[in-house]
Amino acid sequence: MIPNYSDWTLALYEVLLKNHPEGQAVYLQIDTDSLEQIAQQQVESGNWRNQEQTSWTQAFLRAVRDYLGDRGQLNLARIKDYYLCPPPSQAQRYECRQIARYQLSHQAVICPLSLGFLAAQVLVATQMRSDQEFSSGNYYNRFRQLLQLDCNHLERQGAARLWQTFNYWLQLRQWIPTAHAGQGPQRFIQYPISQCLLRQGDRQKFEQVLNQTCRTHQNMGPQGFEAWLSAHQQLLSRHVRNILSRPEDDLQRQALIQALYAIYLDRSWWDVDENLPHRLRRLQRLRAGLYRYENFWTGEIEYRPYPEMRRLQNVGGSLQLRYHDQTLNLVFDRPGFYQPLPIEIQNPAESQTFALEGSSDLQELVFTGSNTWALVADPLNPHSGVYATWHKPLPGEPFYFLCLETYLQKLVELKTFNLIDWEEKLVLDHLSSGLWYEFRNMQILKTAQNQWQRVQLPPELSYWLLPSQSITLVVKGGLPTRGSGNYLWEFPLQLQIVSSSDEEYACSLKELGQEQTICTFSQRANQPFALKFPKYGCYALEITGPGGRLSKRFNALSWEDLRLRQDITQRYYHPLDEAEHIRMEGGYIYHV
Amino acid sequence: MSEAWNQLLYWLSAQGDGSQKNLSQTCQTLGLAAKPDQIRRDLQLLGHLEVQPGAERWSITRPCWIQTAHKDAWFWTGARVPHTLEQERAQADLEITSQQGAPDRISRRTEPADHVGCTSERLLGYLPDLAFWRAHLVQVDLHYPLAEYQFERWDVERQAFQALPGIPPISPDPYIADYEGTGVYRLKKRVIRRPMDHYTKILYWDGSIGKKHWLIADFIGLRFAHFYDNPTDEELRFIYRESSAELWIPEHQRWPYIYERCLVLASGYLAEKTSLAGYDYPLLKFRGIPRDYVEHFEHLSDTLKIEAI
Repeated sequence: MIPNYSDWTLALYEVLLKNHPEGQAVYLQIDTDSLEQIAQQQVESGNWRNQEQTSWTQAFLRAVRDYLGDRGQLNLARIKDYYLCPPPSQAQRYECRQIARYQLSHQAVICPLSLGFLAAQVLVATQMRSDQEFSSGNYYNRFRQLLQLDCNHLERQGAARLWQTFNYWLQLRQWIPTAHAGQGPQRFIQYPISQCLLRQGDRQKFEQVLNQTCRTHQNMGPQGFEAWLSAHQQLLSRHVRNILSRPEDDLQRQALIQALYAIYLDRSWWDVDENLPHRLRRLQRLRAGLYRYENFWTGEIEYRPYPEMRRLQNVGGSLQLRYHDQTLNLVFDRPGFYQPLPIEIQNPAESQTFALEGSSDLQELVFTGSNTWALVADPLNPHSGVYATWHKPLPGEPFYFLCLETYLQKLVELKTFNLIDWEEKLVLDHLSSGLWYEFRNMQILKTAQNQWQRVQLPPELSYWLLPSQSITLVVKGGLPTRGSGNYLWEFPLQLQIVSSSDEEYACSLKELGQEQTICTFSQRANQPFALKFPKYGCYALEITGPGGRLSKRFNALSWEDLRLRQDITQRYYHPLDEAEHIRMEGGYIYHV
Repeated sequence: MSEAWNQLLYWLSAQGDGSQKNLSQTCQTLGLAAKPDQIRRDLQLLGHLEVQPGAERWSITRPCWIQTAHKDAWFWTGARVPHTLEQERAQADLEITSQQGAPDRISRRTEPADHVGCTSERLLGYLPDLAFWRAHLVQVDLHYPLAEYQFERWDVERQAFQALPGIPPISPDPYIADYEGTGVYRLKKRVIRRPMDHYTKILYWDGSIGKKHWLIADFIGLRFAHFYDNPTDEELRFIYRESSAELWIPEHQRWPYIYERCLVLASGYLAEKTSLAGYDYPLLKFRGIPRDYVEHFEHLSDTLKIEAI
């Protein structure tokens, strides 16, 4: 099959969004390498036919042109993402909310048809030379060269509306949209440019720097990598330097660091041979974080590798891992993650590499050891008692901190300055390579950089503890249900704005897709307050004040919205014989 | 309050699995006053939940229709949300009965297209006799010397744990019987240093000659083991009235979990706390228990006496 526009859109959805972790920021970082990789995956799974002579990027651009071109002019009328837009009439607004609720409760996939076109716009931005200014003229010239279509003012406005619709759709799906409009002449082009983290030239420059400076630093963990990046920032391209040194857009900065880390981890920079297609040069590797497993019968703690999926990974098909003489299956856990491996980590500071089988792209899984680890509560099930490296801890968020004794004095110092706090410190003497401590319910208390500068921190601590955001919102109470930001609407939430000083913040609550604000109020930082939703629906709480601005989305569900959870991986049972061959689970008695 | 119990089941069904801690928090949010351990055990008895050994993690069970022991109806157990209830309503007339301290009992008189048969009858066939059950209680070793724990001992008379000033009167000599020391204890570590030190353990010290070990199970099971091992303290008994198919157990002699589950799954109703003329202690009444079940229970042990009324 030769893919048309819809096929490309669906393929893009599968690799960019389907397995993107809930609650995280979405960047449509698309370049020629990505398109080649996506197409190869489709060819390997038998969906598409291989095109020996033509580049897949050209095939993609042709598909976009065939679908949206009208006598050399871009015509967006064929993209009807109407049902995802906040529509104008009252009846349509109601319908829209019903669709949103349906999507949330049924986990339905309604992929926006605009995704293919938006990806093409980002491709145009990534194809601009690294020395080229991101000006409107430059952008649309490049657009015309690549797509062979003119884009008039009306269609530029239409494209902006598609970005807004896409952002709205992402919000409904509990992702954080990142595309935004620019100022003045950059008003429309800023949407795709904001998605473009690395242009081709930026990437090549970064790979050169890695090749020259990093050959002796294999298997760095994210902590070590960030320290290395900070030391070598001046050698990178201007665009990359700009993003890295822009603290006001922490989401973009973090996403760029992740993208750079993935390049580092793949070691494609090891042999920079421009003549080889990129995917052939690449040793693609998965990375594993840490998952804390507590045996409640004995009280013993185990730490296990927690494999993460990578961006653009097609998770179809089976993937196995070689461990000594065993073959272990990598089993899907949730978008972005496989289930923790049944391997006990004896020394969390030691890196381990495991060979992967079952994929032509992925060759290794690497557990990058570290002397320090912060594990947060499960974002989909915050009170489940399960902790893992799902994300870096946010200020005010309780987490478990695991570290070697070496860091004890520094942590005590941070506590003395009231920058962090913890409930309990315990010894884990079954782990090797030194004495390990586990700090339970540690919290970052202060966000102001000047307060943190009082203590000189090693990178292993600053990576986890140094706050990158000036304000965060801590959510407690209510009745959370499975899924990021899902709560039963009738139970009030207990919120707290965590900031470096106790200043007033303006808060406003809006229902998503509605223009009107439901309520506005003023709230002092670092003091708890209650929030009750007027009824079920999707809401956004906007907080603005001296420390900055943040927005938090909530799905306020009714009991009728709840659905049975189907993907329970660990079902317990009561054994009815010694060998546990006869088991009872609820009303079922069965033999295994 | 009945609605809060239903809501708890809806929440558990949507959540799928979790820890005892989040179950406790939800019970609190929903305003359920019963002890979380008791709520968890009751939901297990009704077949809505299963738990990990140690009971700190739970998972919801798959929904199914179970036939009652009298074969006159089917009741629903396992996961349930309003949406699935509506779907079932479209299939048949449902009888919804509220019960104290549990979600509503949903039943139907017509045979469902898909059901698991009479689970209690099948379970009855797998129930071990009490001697076997007692012999297979799990033995555990204490991680630390006795002096590092604070002990409380279950007082059979007062029906409560009583703090001990020091360590219990138990002897390490395997050839000296510890009549004084035998009993159910609650242990807390005095100084917490390692993660495992957090756990309050409820253990049974079996001080018989040649045994001398600590046993672990849920509290109700250990209390029953104590009565079973020491019939001189008090006779184990139950009362049965065939005309109404009702069975009573003294509350303080409550049966170990799997035996009680068989009684509960016979009807889909939890035991009801009640009193009975001639008995000066509270009893638990189970309904819908056929005569052949009782004959089976009589054979579980010579020490378990039946009183027919």
